[in-house]
Amino acid sequence: MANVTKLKPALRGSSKLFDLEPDDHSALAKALGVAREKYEIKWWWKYGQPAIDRVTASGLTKPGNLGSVLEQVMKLNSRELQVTASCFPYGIPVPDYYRVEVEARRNF
Amino acid sequence: MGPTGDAVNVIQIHPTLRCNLRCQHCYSTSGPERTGALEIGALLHFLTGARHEGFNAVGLSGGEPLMYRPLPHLLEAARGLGFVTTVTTNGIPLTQRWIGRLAPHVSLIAISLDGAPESHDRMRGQPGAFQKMRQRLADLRAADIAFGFIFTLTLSNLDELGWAAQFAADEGACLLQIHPLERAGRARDFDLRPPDDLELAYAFLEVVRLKERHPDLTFQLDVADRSLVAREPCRAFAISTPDPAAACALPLAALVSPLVVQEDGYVVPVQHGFSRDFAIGHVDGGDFRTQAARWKRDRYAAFLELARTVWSDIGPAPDHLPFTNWYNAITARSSAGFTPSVSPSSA
Repeated sequence: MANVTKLKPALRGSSKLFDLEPDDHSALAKALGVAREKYEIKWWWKYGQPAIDRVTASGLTKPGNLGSVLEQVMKLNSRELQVTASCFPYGIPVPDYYRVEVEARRNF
Repeated sequence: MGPTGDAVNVIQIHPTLRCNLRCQHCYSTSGPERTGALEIGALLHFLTGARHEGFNAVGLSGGEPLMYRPLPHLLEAARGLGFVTTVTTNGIPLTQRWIGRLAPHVSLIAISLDGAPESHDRMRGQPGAFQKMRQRLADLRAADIAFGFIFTLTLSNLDELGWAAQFAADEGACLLQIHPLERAGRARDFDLRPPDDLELAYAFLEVVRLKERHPDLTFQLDVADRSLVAREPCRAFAISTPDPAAACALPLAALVSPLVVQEDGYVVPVQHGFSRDFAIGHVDGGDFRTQAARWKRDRYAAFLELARTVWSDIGPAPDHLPFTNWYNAITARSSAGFTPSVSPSSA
């Protein structure tokens, strides 16, 4: 159910920006259709919480598991999420384990 | 799952309602006269449990979080636990000394901005508030801290968003976020009007126009797109109630996010002011994982029932009203007239 307040159009902030007549719903719907081709709201945040576009995580893995760990991480990549991973070997000359650092960045 | 997706699971903390200002639109009625603050030890204990429950971001709000003395310690500990950290401030107390203490531990600082200087000062209830805030920005840039602005949208101030966008771009902000006013706390006392769905539609048009004008600035309009929510009900938690054993096996962040730690210590889902009937726990309530397990078992089903009710409430609307304030809808419904078929307190 939509929530629309009845008040004089001049009291709306939008009335100072747009020439659209307040009751011309089809013109507004058409303008929104064009605009939504350019911007999609994928997430919405609560009042007072800034949007976060990236998170990071790190963990340790044994050399034998490294391949499958990275495979799982890379599967997270999508149109909405860019995932990158860095691997740091520990142990000389043969690595005993790897520290895997993962960064997931969102496409706004 | 939920309005911010699976990758970022946020806990917003209100450690105190103490503030240097008495803003007209403050939903928590914060101000200089408010005393009391959450105890740092209890918060750190809670965050440790919450990290195990899959949460990975912490946002500090208030009140004015810079009035919370242990803030640097809290942020440092949160970062040490692996949380991304943000602070939302009115900017005035953001001295060079504070910036130096925060810089190593904060991922993003968000500063409230209510429009052109005279509008900002009026909303903030303090002449000169805008200028004092603006003077802090050079130090933020010098410290190389990412910062953005949060603009509170009312029914009557959309025409100032363009000014705010230009200001944000000129000052080197990375983000301009637009939040619809919540008619709660002092906003109700001042009879401020939140944007209705018609004004949100126009706000969307304005944001698209401004995005083209300021391509380097990230815009985020915090409204729910009805068609997206209809296609993907899980974004609004409108899913069937799973088998209790399956829900209990998942980390809490996979079930509900964001969480809010209120100044009274209650941990509630979604938003400040959410009915305590759905509270997940309390920061003084002992091990948070134990409290979370109890919530999953006893109250999660009622929360989902509430979410499904709100989802069906907001669903149908004409084509020219595609957006709505979901947070407001579910928070209001949580405390007014919603009786789950499974009572949260008796389940």
